[in-house]
This record gives sequence, C-alpha cells and structure tokens, in this order.
Amino acid sequence: MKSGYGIATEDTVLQSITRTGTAFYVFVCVLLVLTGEFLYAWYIQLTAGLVVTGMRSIYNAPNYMGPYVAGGSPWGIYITNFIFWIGISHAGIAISASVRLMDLKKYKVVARMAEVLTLVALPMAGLSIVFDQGRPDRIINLLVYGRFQSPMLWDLTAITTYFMGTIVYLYLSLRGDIDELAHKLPGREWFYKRLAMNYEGTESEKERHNRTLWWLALAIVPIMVTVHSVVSFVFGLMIARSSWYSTIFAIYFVVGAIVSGVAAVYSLAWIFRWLYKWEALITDDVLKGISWALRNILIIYIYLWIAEELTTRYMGASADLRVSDYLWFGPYAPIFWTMAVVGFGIPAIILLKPIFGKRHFNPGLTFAASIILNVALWVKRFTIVVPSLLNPPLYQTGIYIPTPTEISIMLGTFWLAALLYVAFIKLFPIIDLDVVKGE
Amino acid sequence: MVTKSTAAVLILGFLILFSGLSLWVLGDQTDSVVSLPLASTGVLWAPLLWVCGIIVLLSAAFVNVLRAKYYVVWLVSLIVGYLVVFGIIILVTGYLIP
Repeated sequence: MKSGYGIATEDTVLQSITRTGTAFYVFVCVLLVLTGEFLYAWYIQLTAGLVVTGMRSIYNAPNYMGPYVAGGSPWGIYITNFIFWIGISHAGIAISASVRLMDLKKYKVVARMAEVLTLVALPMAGLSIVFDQGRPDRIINLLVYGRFQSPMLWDLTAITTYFMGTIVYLYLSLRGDIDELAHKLPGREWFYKRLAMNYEGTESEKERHNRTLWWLALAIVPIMVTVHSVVSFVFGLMIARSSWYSTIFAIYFVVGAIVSGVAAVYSLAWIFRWLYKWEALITDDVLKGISWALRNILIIYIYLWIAEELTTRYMGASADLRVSDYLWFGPYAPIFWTMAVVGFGIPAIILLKPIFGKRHFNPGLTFAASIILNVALWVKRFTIVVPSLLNPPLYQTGIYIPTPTEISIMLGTFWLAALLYVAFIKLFPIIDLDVVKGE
Repeated sequence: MVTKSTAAVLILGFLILFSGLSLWVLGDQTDSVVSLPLASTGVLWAPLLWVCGIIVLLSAAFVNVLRAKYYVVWLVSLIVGYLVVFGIIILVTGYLIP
C-alpha cells in the first residue's frame, strides 16, 4: 500500500506482533497491578456485600443499626459503566459492517480494531452487571427465572446474540490472516495452523468468506441497534422519570452509543498510528473521515439532548422538573455543566472546525476531542441514571456518592479491557493484511 | 447464494430457538409444561434451548466456510464456552460470598 508517507507492507502491520519493547512490558505490568487492585476490591464487595458501595434503596427506611438512613440511588456507577461499555461495543460492527455493506474500502484499515473493541467491550458490559448484583452466584436466575415479557431477558438475549455474532464475524474476517501468520511466524506455527482450521486461501474460498461476511454484517446491524434499544427499555422498569418511558429514549441511547463507539475507534486508530508510525496506513484522510462521521452523529446527539431538556423545562411533569432542577442547579450541577461545556462543547468546536477549511483538521486535537467525548459520555450516562433515581415521583431522597471500592471495581473493567486488547494485538494483526496487499 | 447446509443449519437454529420460546410461553401461562417429556427431565430446557438456538443460528455462517468437523468444534466451543462463563461466575462468587 502506497501513500504520501511511504509504502506499508505486511511487515509494517506485523510489527505490532513482532516488535515488543520494554515500554510494552512496563505497560502490561502496570495493568496487571491495577487489575490485582480491582480483584481485591471486588473480593471486599463479595465478602462484605453491596453495603460497601454508595448505592442504597430509593426511599428512606428504618435502619436496624441506627435511627434512619437516608435513601439513595439503587443504581450507580456500575449501571453507568454497563451503558458506557454497551455504547463502546457499537463501534465495531457499525464501522466494520459499513465498510463491507457500503464498500467503503478506505476504512477497512480501522475495521478490525473496531471489531476487537466490540469483542472486548461486551464482556465488560456483562461484568458491570455482575458487579451490580448483590448475589452474582445467582446470575443464572436471569435465564432460569427470566420472563420472556421482560426487557431484562431480552437484554441478555440481545447481548448474547451480539457477542456470539461478533465472535463469528471476527473469526471469519481473521481466518485468512491467521493462515498467513502460520507461514510468517514459524515459532507460533502450531498455534496458528490449528486456529486457521485448514484454510487454503484459494480464490473461491476467499470469495465464500467475503460473501458470508457480507450476509453476517447485514444480520448484525439490526442486532446492534436492538442491543442498545433494549438497554433503554430496561430503564422503563424503574419508577423514576417519565422520559424513561418515552419513544425517543431508545433512539437517544442508540445515537449516544454510536457517538462513544466512533470516538473510541478514532482514539484507537490515532494511538496505533502514533505508536507504530502507521501514517502510511492510517492516513489523515481516514482519520478525517472518521472525525466527520463523529461530528455528524454528535450533532444529532446534542440535538436530541437539547430537545429532551427543553421539553422537560417548558412542560415537564413536576417530578421531571425536579430531576432537571437537581441537574441544572442542584448537587450535580457542577458535574452537569462541566460535562455540557467542556465534555461536549469543546469537542464539538474541535470537530466542527474542519468545516471552515481542510487545513483546520488536526488529528492530534481531534484525538483529544474523542477522549474528552468518551469521558463526557460516561458522565452523561451517570447523569441519566443517578439524579433520576434520587428524585422518584413522590419526593426527593438522599444523595449518591460512589465509594473508593466501587470506583476501583468500575475502573477494573478498563484495565481488563486494556489487557484483553493488548493480548489480541500480540497474537493477531490489528489491521487486515489484505489492506496492504491492496485487495 | 446460500448453500443447502447453511439453509439447514439456519432452519435448525430457528426450530431450536422457537422450541425454547414455546416452552417458556407454555411454562409461563399454564401448568401443562410440567407434563411435557422435555420439562419432566428436570433440565431447564426453555432457556437452554433458547440460547442454543441463537448460537446455532449464528453458527450458520461457519457452515458455509468450514469443514464439518471444524464446524462442530466451533459450535460446541461457543455453547460450552457460554455456559462455562456462567459456571465460573457462580462457582467463584458462590465460594466467596459468606
């Protein structure tokens, strides 16, 4: 593959597998230590119970240990994290399927990093739910006593389907490269040969793979939309805000998920390009294209958000207004306004700048915008979940502040995700080898 | 073009999935499920068939490109892997929770 930055060959792509420096080992060691700290925090929560978290029942209740405990939010940063990771997972298949279905060959270079992101993000979403359960040893009850009328069961079903679909999709798109790795890396031949499962690499076989992947992409896109829609339906089970039962809620969730997913893919693409000097592969043009998609979907998301705030402010039910007041002027106002201005406003300006001329596109600055956006979207999910549950229809209740144990467990999903991602890039090429062959 | 084997797996997947759903609906609305031979084995067939149906359905993509024995390896790995995840969570957390 030839570009203004020189020629990228298969060896250029494979350096992510073959080149391992000291920095890599330091990075992995840091991740392992942080993961250990997370496991210890989870151990504390499992042995002591959810009382070590900041989550409490909605209404005030008599406390056998003292006079009265203030009520609180039954959902906190674990559910916030769950929605966040589901959102991130949208990137993979959305981008990969678009590349395949709309024949956007230019973006094939980021397709795999997006697919792997989905594969890593979905288990983290599932883990967040496990953390939120007081008795995770009863998790099988979700299936055993699941009611098919319940969004909870459909949530589990949608996530299972999406996860399995992603595994199948990723393997099929990876199989040819695995076979090639068996020849290129003799030391690991045994592993790759078995995993390639007798791949022959004939033209007809490649054609069969491409056709199957096309159909699979077509099937997975609606599943992707279903996953985040069903997540929003789960909110309808909770007595909190009337907007949680509104028609727009699912759309709002799906659009938010696509924003965070596309932002995450941009961040990853920029990091890989910087790390391995892949300017010839992940060109400015590719990054600009992703940033344009991000900008457009972000505008839609901000529009939906403003519409939600406005309709609540001018004609909202009293309970809804209370939640809105709580966010705009109450204890969460600093978080809310920082998120709105810094988290969304600044990235929006950075992403909108290239409209005024090509020279305004700055890949590094856009990377900063994509990171800020994802932090802001995590906080956005927090402001959807917590203030609403702290203000149930009847009266206002306590306050929710996550504990250090809870924060350690929540952050643990990020360390685990990073470890899994790193493990993948050390075993398989993160860019489809066909890209450098020009196929 | 969809091959015959792919179509067969797709149909099988749908059949398993709807069997699971049917058992679920029956179990939810009536007591008749108790007398059904499947349910009387004591195994929770409805959720099991439901999940297996989904996996078989998605595995149809493999039939098109893999040899039969590799297809079976993948199918079994996906189903067993899925159930093992639940098993590990239950065992580990069940052991730790006092």
